[in-house]
Amino acid sequence: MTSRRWWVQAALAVLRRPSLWGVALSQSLRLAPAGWWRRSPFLPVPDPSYLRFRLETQYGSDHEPEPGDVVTYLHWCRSFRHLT
Amino acid sequence: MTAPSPPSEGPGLVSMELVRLRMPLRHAHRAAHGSEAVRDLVLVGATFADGTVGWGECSALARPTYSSEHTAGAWLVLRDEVVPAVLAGRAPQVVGHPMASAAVLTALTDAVLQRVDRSLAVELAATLGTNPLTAVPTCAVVSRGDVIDDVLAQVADRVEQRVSLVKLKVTPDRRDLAAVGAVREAWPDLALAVDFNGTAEADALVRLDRLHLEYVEQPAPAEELVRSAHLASLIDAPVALDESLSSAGALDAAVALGAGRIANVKPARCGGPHAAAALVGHARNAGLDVFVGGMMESGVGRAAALAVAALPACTFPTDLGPSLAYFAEDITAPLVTDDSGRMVVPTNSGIGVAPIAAHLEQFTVDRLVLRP
Repeated sequence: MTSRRWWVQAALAVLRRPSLWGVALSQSLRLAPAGWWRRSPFLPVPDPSYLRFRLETQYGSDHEPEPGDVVTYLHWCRSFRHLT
Repeated sequence: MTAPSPPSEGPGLVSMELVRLRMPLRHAHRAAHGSEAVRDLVLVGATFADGTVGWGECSALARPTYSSEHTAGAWLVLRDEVVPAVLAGRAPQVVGHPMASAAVLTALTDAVLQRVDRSLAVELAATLGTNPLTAVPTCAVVSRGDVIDDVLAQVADRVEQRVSLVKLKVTPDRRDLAAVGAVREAWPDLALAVDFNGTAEADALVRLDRLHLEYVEQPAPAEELVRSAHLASLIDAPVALDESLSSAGALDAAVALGAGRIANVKPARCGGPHAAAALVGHARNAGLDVFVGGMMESGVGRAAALAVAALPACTFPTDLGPSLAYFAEDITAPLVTDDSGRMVVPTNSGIGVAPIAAHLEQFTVDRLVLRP
């Protein structure tokens, strides 16, 4: 789950939608662990063990999220932000 | 629905513990669906190889009167189905029983978040692209009383604690309706709501609608959304739905039918804090107002629910009150209000609290440790 190939596909799906770049960046920063810049991979990405746990509890252990789900999620975050 | 599943990375799950508690309530809680004088709960503890222990609570009531789940049944479902499946590393094939699943999911989430040093409130808010509130306004839920003076005394007590809203548990019984009138007369400017727990009748609703209520909760039985829509059309006060909102699909149906304008989201009933947070977002996107309800939880369940209530998308005061409003002694450090009467949201990692061993011992009536 969430292999390198999956991350590349998800990133490409977001890159094709410039209107989501802002929300993608802010979500990356929100979901990244504190002090992410001090440890490998030096990128604002969620803690891998926690992300895996959440994806398993959400999708089950034998299903993978689609890269397009990231786009759906970011659209959802953007619309939700206007409501809070 | 989100299914409990052990984290597959990091230190392994060593054991899971079921603890059945019987905690005396300071005041018996009386609603249309019955009366509780002792809170009969199940806690789930998840212990990992690195010593991290996460806790969750199954907040089902002792009898299946609010929903079909009840404590004794939840104990069996946890013992025989959910926990063995999680310990074996597979998703439980259980239909229903969201409160049992919520307990396990919360325990696992608590442990995993402790490891990454992140609070549940921050985690839930971040998932929705926002920051959590540090304190949330509260609604005092007042039991039905045999005599009006009992209800007035309860309301006076809670008004003194500077709650933002008072909600009276009612039925169409004329004493209950008279009590609502008496409260309105005594506090003309008080933000007031009522909760019928599915027992409302049209005449009673129309009578109460003259009392300028903030909302009328669950007028019709859980499955009767068409009836709820009909009752909602008779009154100006918005209808809040509680028992009816078992899933996002149920919420969509309620919106389509006009069955309610406010969603009462209870993390226990939704299957855990993440599912509840998603339902909060779903409800707001559907144009509903939202608040987080309570199940007279102990500190463990209350802290997890407060993390959901801390979402800024919640537009009405939460039903979650301070521990001491319910119990003379909680099993955790008590959850408290600030100087403004708002509930303080735990900020420690995970759910932010853990049971105190001596307190746990005091209320424990059964205990079981399960290992892989």
